[in-house]
Amino acid sequence: VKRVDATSTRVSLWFAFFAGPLAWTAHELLSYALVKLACANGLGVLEHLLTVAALALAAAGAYAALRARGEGQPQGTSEFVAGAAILISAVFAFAIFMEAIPDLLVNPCL
Amino acid sequence: MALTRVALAGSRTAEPQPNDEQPEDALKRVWTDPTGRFGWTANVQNGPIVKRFMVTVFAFFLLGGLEALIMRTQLALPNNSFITPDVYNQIFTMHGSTMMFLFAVPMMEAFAEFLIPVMVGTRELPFPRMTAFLYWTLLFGALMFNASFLFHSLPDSGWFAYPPLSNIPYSSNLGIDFWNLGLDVAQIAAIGDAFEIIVGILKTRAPGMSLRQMPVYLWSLLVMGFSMIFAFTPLFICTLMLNLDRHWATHFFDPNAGGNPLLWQHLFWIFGHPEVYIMFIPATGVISMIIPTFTRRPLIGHTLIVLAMVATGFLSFGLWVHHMFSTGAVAPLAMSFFTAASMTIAIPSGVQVLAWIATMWGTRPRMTTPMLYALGFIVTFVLGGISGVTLSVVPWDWQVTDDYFVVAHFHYVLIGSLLFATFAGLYYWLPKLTNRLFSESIGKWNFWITMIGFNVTFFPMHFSGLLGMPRRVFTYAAGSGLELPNLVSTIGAFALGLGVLIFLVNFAWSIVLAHGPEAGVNPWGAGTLDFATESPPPDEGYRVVPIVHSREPLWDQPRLDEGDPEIVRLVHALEQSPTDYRATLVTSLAEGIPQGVVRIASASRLPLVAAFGLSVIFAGELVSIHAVAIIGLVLMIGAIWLWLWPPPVEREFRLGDHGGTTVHGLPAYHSGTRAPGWWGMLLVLLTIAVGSACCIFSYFYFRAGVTDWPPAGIARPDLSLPVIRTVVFALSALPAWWALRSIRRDYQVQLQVSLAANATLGGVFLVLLMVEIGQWDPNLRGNAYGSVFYLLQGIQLLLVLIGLLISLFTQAQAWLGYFNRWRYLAVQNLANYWTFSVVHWLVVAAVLYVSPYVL
Repeated sequence: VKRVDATSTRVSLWFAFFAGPLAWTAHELLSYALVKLACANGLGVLEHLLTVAALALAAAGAYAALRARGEGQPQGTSEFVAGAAILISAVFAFAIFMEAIPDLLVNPCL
Repeated sequence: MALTRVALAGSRTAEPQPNDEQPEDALKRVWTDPTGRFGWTANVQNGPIVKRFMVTVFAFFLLGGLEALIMRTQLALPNNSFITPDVYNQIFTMHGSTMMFLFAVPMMEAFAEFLIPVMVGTRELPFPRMTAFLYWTLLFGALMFNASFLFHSLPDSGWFAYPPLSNIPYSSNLGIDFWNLGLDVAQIAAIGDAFEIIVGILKTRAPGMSLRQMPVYLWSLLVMGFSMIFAFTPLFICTLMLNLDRHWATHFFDPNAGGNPLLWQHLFWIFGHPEVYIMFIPATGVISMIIPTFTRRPLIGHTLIVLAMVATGFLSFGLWVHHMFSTGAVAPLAMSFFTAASMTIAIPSGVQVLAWIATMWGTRPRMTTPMLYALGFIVTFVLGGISGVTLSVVPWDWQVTDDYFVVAHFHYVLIGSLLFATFAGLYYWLPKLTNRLFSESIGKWNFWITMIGFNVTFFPMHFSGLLGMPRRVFTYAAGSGLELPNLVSTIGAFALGLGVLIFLVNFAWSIVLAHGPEAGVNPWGAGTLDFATESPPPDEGYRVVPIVHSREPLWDQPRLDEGDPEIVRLVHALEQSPTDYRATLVTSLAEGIPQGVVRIASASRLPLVAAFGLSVIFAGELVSIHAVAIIGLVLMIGAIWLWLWPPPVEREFRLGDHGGTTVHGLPAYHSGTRAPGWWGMLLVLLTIAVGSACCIFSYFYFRAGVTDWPPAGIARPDLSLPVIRTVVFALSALPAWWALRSIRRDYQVQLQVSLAANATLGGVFLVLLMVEIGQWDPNLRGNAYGSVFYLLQGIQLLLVLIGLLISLFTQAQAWLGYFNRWRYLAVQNLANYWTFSVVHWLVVAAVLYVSPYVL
């Protein structure tokens, strides 16, 4: 058993694994917190910008995972983590997308 | 060689011969807990503790079930007078709280504590004295909670105890205090267990068990562990606030003084919703272990299941507002975000169900009792899950909230997943723990009667809910169409009770009276390491630590001690030594590469004393006699001090081979990410951070509800003193790091001086902080702003007090010369703790002193 992962790969794998969940968490909490503001100042566009930023972060996670995938041993741990990270990014991108639907349909002042 | 021999041995080896001691007997001797009349009070081995743990929580399950039967008897007929409305309120509160806090989560913890060492392939859990401490803590907390029966003051505000109902004057007897303080003690056990689970899985896996080879059950426990830290801490904070409101004149939940009862709902459900998944995720882990065994096929979609568990863990924290849809306090757009999240979480759960079906597809599963329960789990959980998805839709939730539809939904999810998984797990793993198989024929009766009884009880509740029957009401009118579904439910409940009784009969017959067949090493032909040792697993866990190359090593590997010659040599060498202290292997987090040999604590009665002291603190507060609480505190601190004090073999630096610093070429002294204790401290700090985040959330929650902040008549805080305090405290972190730097170079005097400087500056900060708190500004006493202000300062005060205790503990060791350039983990932990408290203070100070000027 030999150590094959360079530190940079490990850091980017950590990022890849947690970027999606973090993006979704931030998206949900900030969207919730901004509802009042969106109504009072007509800043509905803020919610959409938030969605774009969150999706971008999740996509960055998936990208980092895709890049890390080629670098480890074929059946190694980093391959496994990278594979899981791609799936996780996809699930949380979907979760962000789901939470963006109400922004298009529901009046923030209701 | 030795492992295969162990694996084939049906029972435990003979008593050691004192004169002619073999190395393996030496290993057994060092790992054996004291015997004798009171030996059990000093047990730290996971085996005996888990047996106790399971019996205890099963007893509470029976109690909770009895309470359910009392309710169902009352509801059998309309306008029944079996119990009074007051008693009904008390019984449903006790039922819910007992099942959630004293059965469901602890049962999953008990499985975890039993299975982690065998499944990861190590000798013992990383913090064995903590295992003992947590069991006693749970026991004392549960007894304290149920002592409310003896004092005729049962809590009666439901298991989620919403204020103002749970606050004075609406609940002025001791009932809520029993609930609050008794369950807090039990919660401490849950949080502590999370540390043990996480560190055990991350740092003590067998060589070669990388994250890729790790069984899904361990993944589920990892998610459970982190969720417990993030969920139980908010619960602890909101129950603390409720206690302060009730007895210390604060105003967190008092709307007349700027407080807000909805704050409770936020904090409680940030705990309460993930709580469901804290039980459910390890339950799915159990099912994911059982299905491959009985279909004899590796789990299909392993990565997908891991992903589903991790995703569920995260998503479960973003659903809490769906418990508050009917409060009218959340804007429709905001509610829709939580509808979206609540629907999304169905996806990972669906992925798991499909993966289980795919695994079974085309096989002929052996229909043993555990497998039947696993199938029952899937069917029931899908039904409960689907009704759950419907509840995420706001208008539908408004329609059925607080009626029996919801009761039906969550019992399908909780009983269907948790109870069936518990039974599946007990039938599957108790043979490993006791070396006796259950009777399969009684087991089948057990399953079918439980399954039928359960569905007869809860399926009609969907209809009684739709007919408008509200939950938590002691009766219903005749002629409302509710008679039939209720009668059917009651009949079903007794059938379900009968099913549980049959389990007890099976347990007594097969295991206690030992009529069941001997289980042997691997009765089910499972593929994972939990069935690699003899039954029950010996105290030392594995004589030869296994080497793992596969997810199902027992299926794929002819031998468990093959591989890299260096590691083969290592695992066999570990059989010979160290045998003068308990030691286990630590491995790297991702790859499972051996990193060192770490000493594990030996048997002790101190955890029992510490748990007793902790309970005395809460009992003292329960009766509002603070002197008693202080006695408990002293007892607890004293016991923990002695418990952590290094034993001679460590403080005299005799851990290594021949007085060196290594064991079989691996380090024997640890610091940083290699040391389990370092991870323990990291998780403690994470827990504190979560708790403080809840308090800061409360601060801004109050802030967001008003235009004047601080409230009218209160000046913004003066900044001059806080600045001085902050400077002093920030400076105190420097000597802590200097101490660490010194001991790494073996500068003993420098170490002592910098530790003293750190403590002195910390003490000055403490005094300055106490001066401000001591002034006890009268303007702040009467409102929620002041309550949260003093709460945050109080947390900082506590943080520094504990820091000074840690410092004293470290200094005492430094004076005695117990540190050197290898052994300095305590100094490192102090430096980390201290840095955290400084950062914590910077955040708290920014919130308390700066934010009123800028926000």
